[in-house]
Amino acid sequence: MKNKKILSVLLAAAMAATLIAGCGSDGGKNDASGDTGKKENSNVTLSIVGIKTEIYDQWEAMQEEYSDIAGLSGFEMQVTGDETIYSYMQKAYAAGNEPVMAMLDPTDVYSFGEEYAVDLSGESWVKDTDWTISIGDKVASFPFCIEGRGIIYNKTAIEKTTGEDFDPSTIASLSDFTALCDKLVAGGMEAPVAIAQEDWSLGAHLFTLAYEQQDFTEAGTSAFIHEIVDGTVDFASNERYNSVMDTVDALRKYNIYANDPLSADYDLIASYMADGTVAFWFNGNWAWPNISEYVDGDTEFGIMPLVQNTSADDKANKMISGTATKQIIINNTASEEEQQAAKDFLTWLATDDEGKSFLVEEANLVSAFNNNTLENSDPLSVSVKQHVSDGTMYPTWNRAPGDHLTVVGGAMQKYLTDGNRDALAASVVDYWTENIDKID
Amino acid sequence: MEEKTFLGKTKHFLMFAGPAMVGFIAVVIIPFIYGLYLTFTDWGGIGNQKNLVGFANYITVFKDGDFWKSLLLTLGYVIISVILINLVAFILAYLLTSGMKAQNFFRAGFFTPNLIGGIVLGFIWQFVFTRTLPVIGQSLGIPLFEKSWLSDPTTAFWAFVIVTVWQYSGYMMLIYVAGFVGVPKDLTEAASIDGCTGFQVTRYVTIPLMVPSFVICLFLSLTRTFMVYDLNLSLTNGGPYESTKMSAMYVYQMAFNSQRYGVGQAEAIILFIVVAVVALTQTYLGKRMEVDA
Amino acid sequence: MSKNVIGGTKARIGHIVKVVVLFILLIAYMFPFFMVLINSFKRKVSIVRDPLALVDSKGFYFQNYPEAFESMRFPAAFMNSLLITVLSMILIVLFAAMAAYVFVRTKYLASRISFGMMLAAMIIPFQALMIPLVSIYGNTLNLLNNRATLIFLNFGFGMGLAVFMYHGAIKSGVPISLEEAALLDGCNKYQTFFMVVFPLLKTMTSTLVVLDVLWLWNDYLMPSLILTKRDLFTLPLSTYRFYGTYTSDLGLIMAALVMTVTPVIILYLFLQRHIIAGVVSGAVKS
Repeated sequence: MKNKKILSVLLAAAMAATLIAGCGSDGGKNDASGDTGKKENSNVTLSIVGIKTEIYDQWEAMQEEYSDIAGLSGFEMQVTGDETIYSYMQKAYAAGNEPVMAMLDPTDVYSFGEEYAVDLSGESWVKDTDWTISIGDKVASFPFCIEGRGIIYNKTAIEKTTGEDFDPSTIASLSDFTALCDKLVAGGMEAPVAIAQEDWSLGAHLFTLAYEQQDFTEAGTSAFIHEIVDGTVDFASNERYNSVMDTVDALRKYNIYANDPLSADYDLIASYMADGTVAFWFNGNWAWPNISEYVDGDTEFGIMPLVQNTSADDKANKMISGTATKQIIINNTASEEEQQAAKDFLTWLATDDEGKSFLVEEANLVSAFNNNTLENSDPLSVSVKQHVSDGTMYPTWNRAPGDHLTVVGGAMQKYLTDGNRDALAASVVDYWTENIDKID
Repeated sequence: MEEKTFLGKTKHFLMFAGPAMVGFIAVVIIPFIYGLYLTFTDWGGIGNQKNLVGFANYITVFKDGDFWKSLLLTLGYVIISVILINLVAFILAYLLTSGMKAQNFFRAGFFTPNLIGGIVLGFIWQFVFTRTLPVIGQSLGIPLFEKSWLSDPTTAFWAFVIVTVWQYSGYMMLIYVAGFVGVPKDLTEAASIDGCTGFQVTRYVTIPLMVPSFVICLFLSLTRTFMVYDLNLSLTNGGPYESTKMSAMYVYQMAFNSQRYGVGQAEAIILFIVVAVVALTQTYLGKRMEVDA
Repeated sequence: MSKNVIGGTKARIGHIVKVVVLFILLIAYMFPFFMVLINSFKRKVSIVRDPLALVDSKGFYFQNYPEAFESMRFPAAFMNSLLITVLSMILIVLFAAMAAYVFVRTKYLASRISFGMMLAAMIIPFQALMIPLVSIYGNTLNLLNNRATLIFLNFGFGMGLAVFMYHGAIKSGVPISLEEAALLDGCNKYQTFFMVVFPLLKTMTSTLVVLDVLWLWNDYLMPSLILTKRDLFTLPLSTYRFYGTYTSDLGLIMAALVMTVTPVIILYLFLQRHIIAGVVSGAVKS
């Protein structure tokens, strides 16, 4: 009896399963292609992936508003979780379920753009920005926001500890910087610097300065990489490499994690920055949401260049590195209506007052458009924006392949513990020797 | 039991294994073959451009010293972890089937590591190794714990092993428990009546009857540790300075970060063959030792 | 007499040592889970600064739960997870037991090859199947964003382990004489299997249900490949919106995790009793 009961339950369940499997398929893209030519967009659903985690809530609120404005039937935000946008898109393309738009890092625009990006050169906003990425003749992407990187400083903590006013422009060389650090130590701040141990921070953000600052142009950086591979330049004895590493050595010396550099914790550093346990952190304005979680009351922050002991007119001592780090592409695999709706959306973001306000006032990002004159409220973005308008930001070189940060980041982690400059240079040259075919 | 005619055999086989085989072939075998085909192309992972390149990807793999280094590292990690996992799991299962009070509570407790996965697990253990242990080590003056275990290649390796054992021993314990419980009581009772001590009963009656459990657990722990990826990513992320990058992670990065999909896929196939040889040999030997109840 | 007493004392001391050792081990095993629990009641500030503290410096902080509940659309995600897990699990357990049975009891070439293939397939790194899988089921067959597809894929992937474990259990735990008797009594093959063999596999079935439910319930990678529409999200998929490269909402993640695993813990506790009961009821003894 009992067995029969079990059997019948199992069979019923199995049948239910097959029934459900039979129906209810709502998969597939482009199912809106039915009746074309409608003026309203009521059949079109937009979708996007790659939104910065920090602005999920703002983005979703905006999506809903925009859907109403444009009469869309929906606007979806997909998330990548802990996987990179690159591998997410790679799988999405293989599966054929890529969203209409994707917000990518610049290096990924180069990977996917040639094959998949819709040409945006006819769009009205193109004239208002310097930050689109062009591949061949086509304008492949819409620059979403500008981010810059350098040494973040806590002005309030510095002034409190030293008892003097702090003006970052007075720190024009490494000697100035170490003198200030010594003062801070003397004033009771045991270790004024923090260095994150994440490979992307060390490999992609910090170390890349040694390439970029060869001549401060993207083309020049690519050319330089070719030279270190073909042997025209000896990387280990390169002047810029050594002056950047001199500054890195100074950061190591004053690092709050000097004894055990790889035990650094990103969130903890953010809290140290906020409460003034440390005064300097090499990072970028994307760190603000992390820092702001721990800020109590009025504390002033900013971003200054990674100063070096080079001549006074060295650009490295005046400029920070930055670029439009998030770029939106429209996939050419989407239907005509979807592509048009996506173009309309981007135009709205760039030119409509509400779109502009979303970017700067809601999402707190630095706009890449000259015609967006709204003021940011977060201090790091204000600082980046200031560098942009002062002309003290040079373009980040963003052509390194996806594994550059793993390999060179790993080598940098090692450098933090042993300070062996030759070994670091050797791994960098090795990496590029193997991967030189991946850059122009 | 067995049918005599070919038709009868086919019918008998399909009656029972038909649905399983349909699912298995459609989901595993066909994609696998397609993946195998991709290793003979120069596909970079994006777009529709695929050219047949013969064995070029495999030649690249054989020249890729870092891949073989990661395989060797993985091998060491697997051997140590598998031994420890099974030792701990078996002892736990033995203790927790001896009829003590609250054994259900204990069993549930040892199983909890399997309830947490991914980044949270990595976060917690990172915290333990980088912040809790150093605080304890510094205050008690234990040199071993004064620095974060994750910032030195050797200790990071052992931290990785410890977390692996912690994670899988509860899982394997459950299978061993099922094995212990599955040994017919009358056999062990008969052995006791015949004058065997507890140890002898375990050694000569229970363990031989539990060979299937051993085969399963060894197989599972071998394959899981060989293909460890999530934990690798969340605990050490291959660091410090790429010293704990196991094969699966290496392969994944080759395919998805280095944009050499064909090479990554070829390395995955080689990894598959290595694991297959090891695991199937183990299973084959184990199956020969099985006895029927 | 006296010998017995000494033996008794010794046994008791042994027992106490055993319990103490187990207890210490237990704490080590449960520690991380305990950490998740206490930290789910804290603000992110306190989680980062002082993860070991039992309570937030500003007292218990419950806000993570409602916030995570809302943000991950818990009820819908829960129902999706439930549907997908239960149906996949039933398909796997039922058909794997049947397949394993024919693999053990026959010496057909097909049985041997199939079993060998399933064993071998358990070793294929999932990453190696990922791209081929999505390009077949997505680009070619256009079956993505469909719960049924996911259930079918789970079914195919779960087969290997389940068949393997049932194979061992049938071989060692099911006396062939019982089946012969059933056949003589006039049962057909299905009746023999479902009325004699399958009930004897109760222990293994319970174990497998626990292992499979755990895997299916917490699985992230495969659902993420198949389901991209928010309405279809499972619990782990909806949790992933709290993760990011530069910043993760630790408090929300912890709360989401606690809410996600609680049903599995309940199932485990329930089935565990069942594992024991199944044995005590003595199916094996007969």
